[in-house]
Amino acid sequence: MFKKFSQWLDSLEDKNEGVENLPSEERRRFLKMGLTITGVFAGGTLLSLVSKVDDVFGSIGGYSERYPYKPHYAMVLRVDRCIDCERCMEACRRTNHVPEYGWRTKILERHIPLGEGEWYREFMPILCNHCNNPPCVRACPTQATYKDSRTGIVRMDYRKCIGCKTCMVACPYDMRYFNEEKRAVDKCDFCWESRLSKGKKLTACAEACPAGVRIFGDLSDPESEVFQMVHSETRVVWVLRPETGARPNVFYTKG
Amino acid sequence: MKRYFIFLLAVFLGCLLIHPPTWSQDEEDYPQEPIIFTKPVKAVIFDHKVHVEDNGLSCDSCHDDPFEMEAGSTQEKPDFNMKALYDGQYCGACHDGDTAFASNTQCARCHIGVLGMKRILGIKEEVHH
Amino acid sequence: MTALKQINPPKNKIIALFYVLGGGALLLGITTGLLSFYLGHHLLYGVTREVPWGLLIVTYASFAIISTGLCIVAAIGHLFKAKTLEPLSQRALYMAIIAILAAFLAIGLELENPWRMAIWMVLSPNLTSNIMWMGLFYAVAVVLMIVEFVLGQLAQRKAAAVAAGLASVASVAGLVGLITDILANSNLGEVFGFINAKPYWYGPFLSIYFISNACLMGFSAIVFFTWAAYSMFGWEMDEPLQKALKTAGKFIGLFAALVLFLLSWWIVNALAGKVFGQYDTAKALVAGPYALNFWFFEVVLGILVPLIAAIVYKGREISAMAWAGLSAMIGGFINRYDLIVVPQTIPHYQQFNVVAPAELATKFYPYVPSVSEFLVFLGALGLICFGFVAGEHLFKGHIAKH
Ligand code: HEC
Ligand code: HEC
Ligand code: HEC
Repeated sequence: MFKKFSQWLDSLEDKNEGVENLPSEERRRFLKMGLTITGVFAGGTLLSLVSKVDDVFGSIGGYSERYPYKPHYAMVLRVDRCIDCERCMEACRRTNHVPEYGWRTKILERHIPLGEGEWYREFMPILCNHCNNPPCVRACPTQATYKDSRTGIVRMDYRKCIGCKTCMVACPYDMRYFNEEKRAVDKCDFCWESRLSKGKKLTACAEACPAGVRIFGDLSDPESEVFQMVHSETRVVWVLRPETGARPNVFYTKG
Repeated sequence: MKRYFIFLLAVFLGCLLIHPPTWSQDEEDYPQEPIIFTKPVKAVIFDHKVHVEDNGLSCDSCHDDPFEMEAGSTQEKPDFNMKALYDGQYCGACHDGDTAFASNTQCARCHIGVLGMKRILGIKEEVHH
Repeated sequence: MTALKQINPPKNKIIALFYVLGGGALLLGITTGLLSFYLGHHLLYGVTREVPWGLLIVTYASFAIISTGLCIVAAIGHLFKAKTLEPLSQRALYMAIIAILAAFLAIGLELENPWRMAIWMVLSPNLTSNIMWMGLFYAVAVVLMIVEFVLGQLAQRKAAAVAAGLASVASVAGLVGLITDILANSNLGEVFGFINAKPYWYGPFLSIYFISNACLMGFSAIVFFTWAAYSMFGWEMDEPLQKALKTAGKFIGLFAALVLFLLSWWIVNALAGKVFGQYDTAKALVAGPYALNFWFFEVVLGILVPLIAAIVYKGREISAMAWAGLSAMIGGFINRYDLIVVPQTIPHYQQFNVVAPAELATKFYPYVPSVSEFLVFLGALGLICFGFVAGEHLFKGHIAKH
């Protein structure tokens, strides 16, 4: 009886499973590869390695059925290549008519400590994580923000927004702002309205990036670069603030 | 003849005392403020102090080849980009992994970005409500 | 029960002051709020992208919590027939309605598009949203409270046979109203409690905390407003009313102790656990920029004054307990302010050693209520003051005569 109940609970979770539990078996496999588990990797929690991917997205064999969306849009950010030229931010602003006072994507400058008084610089692009379990969507009283059932993009239906700003508070990533002209909360939609829905393949920011930081694509397509990076045997991939259980589709990696 | 020579040497050394040689004059004259390249991308930092003082590089290892002594001149050249650096031109002459860290590593050490540039130039970021 | 006995002349000046200042503040607040729709909230309100919930959400939550508390007080007397507290019920019910209307006023002027709410909460409600349920339940609760109140008034003016019928309909409305009100309040708690992005809020604790505070606020408010009415209008408190107030005074102490208990563990837990967001919030409260708010307003005024007053006077000194109740309400308001604002001021990317851009790299996101927000808050407060004196006039001291 409890098993049924537990299955039912699982079935409510049609999306990713948690990133927080790394089973001991995987842990051992991981260690065998000569890598250590630090728990925290440059501010995020360690996530990837192929074994981990099983854990996150369902078994490798069954991933295409298990990916909830088709295409399942995702972005991988190669943070160590970012040079903060901010062409992505400019392109985003132009393409999506983002007003002066707002932003949909941004670059953070981090000084990561190396020891006494020493640090190195890293630029970290941030944008909507298009979470599989989006806290903003859960909180919105009128479904003005919703998870597009086809693409997994977290989108806005501007006319339904009552401006309660709960989604802004609920977002762990500060990805939402109130757009006065639209009288609604606005956010990154992976350029769905401005580009993808018109047949373009890349977001404006990914296209504008001269340093190859923003890799955009379909995570449900094994041929895609995002798939291969996220499922790579050796690459370390992580997400931001995994403890919130939001299960982002924006991944971070180096190299 | 020998006396002549000593006299000349004395004069020469005397001159040196009054007029320090041109190379040491240059040494003090290098730009104290870092130079910031903004083209093709914002923004890359070049600091003479690090190169000349901390790493003891002489002026002629860079001047006038590959860099002219004129801030902003190099960034007008169409091939001033990463490909050229990887091919050992411009900064890549040294930033090849031998003399100095390679150009295809530690991107954010040369690239201070728009944020770094604004900080150095003292441009206040606007904070919106 | 008989009519009120005048023992002192009414303090007409103070009563007039309540009307004028309350009404004036109300008009000013509404004007400011409407102006902010016209000019844009971003120009007049101090809330930001990072701290989107400011003084007006605090006002809404505070007054909603007071309303729920008063609704509970009213129900204890009316519905559960606790004879001792019965004399407080009628005024408690009336003030519960006024308080929730003031809360609605604040949130109505804070929402960017309240008119869309009326359409889309009906056409496309999100069943997982606490805001949706809270709005729905409070809307139903206020209607039921008004029905209960109106039927109660009618019953007093009708012959006994009709009156009994009306009264029983009123109690059904009252009971359902109480249940929806408590559901609304717990959803208000979970509006915050469900937000994993702010670990200081996250968890089931907030709804427990809110309902406990509602009880403290309810008893504080009823003692204060009853005492205020009687001393302003110069009426004599009869024996049952005095007894009711003394009992309510004891409840103030009881619930102050409960809130002290809850708040202490909340803070200790957050400080000791060192969880990102929890720790930072608790530290900002006990030893950071909000320490004055916390220690003086939340702890001393909000909890210790009513608690100690209840112990010292055993709840029997009515005027002292009334002032203690006011103190609890002021402290409670600041508690709501800190509870809502401070967790939002902890930067999202604080763990990432961010140095730029400046607005995301600060230690705390700034938030200061703007003048306009303050005026709208005063407007909501004005509605309570105005509604209070008007109620005493219109319903003649809320005396029930069954
Ligand atoms: C490691 C290479 C390097 C070394 C060594 C170096 N420079 Fe430069 N210098 C540069 C670069 C790069 C520029 C900028 C050129 C540009 O902007 O196009 C520059 C520019 C200058 C300028 C022009 C500044 C201006 O504001 O227009 C002067 C003067 C100069 N250097 C003097 C010196 C002197 C004197 C020395 C020796 C003490 C020296 N440099 C050593 C690389 C170097
Ligand atoms: C003549 C050789 C040479 C050239 C040309 C040269 N560098 Fe360097 N650079 C060095 C050396 C040597 C170091 C210090 C060694 C190290 O850190 O690897 C250095 C260090 C640096 C640093 C690190 C400074 C710090 O504070 O950590 C930066 C940034 C840098 N160079 C930028 C540039 C740029 C930009 C150019 C081209 C405009 C350039 N360099 C051209 C030799 C050179
Ligand atoms: C030794 C210093 C140095 C390092 C290290 C360096 N760059 Fe550059 N980069 C430059 C200079 C100098 C320019 C040309 C000036 C400008 O654009 O401001 C440049 C220009 C660029 C450009 C624009 C021109 C082009 O080639 O498209 C990109 C993109 C770029 N760098 C990316 C990177 C990335 C990615 C890395 C790390 C893998 C990196 N850079 C590391 C110095 C450096």
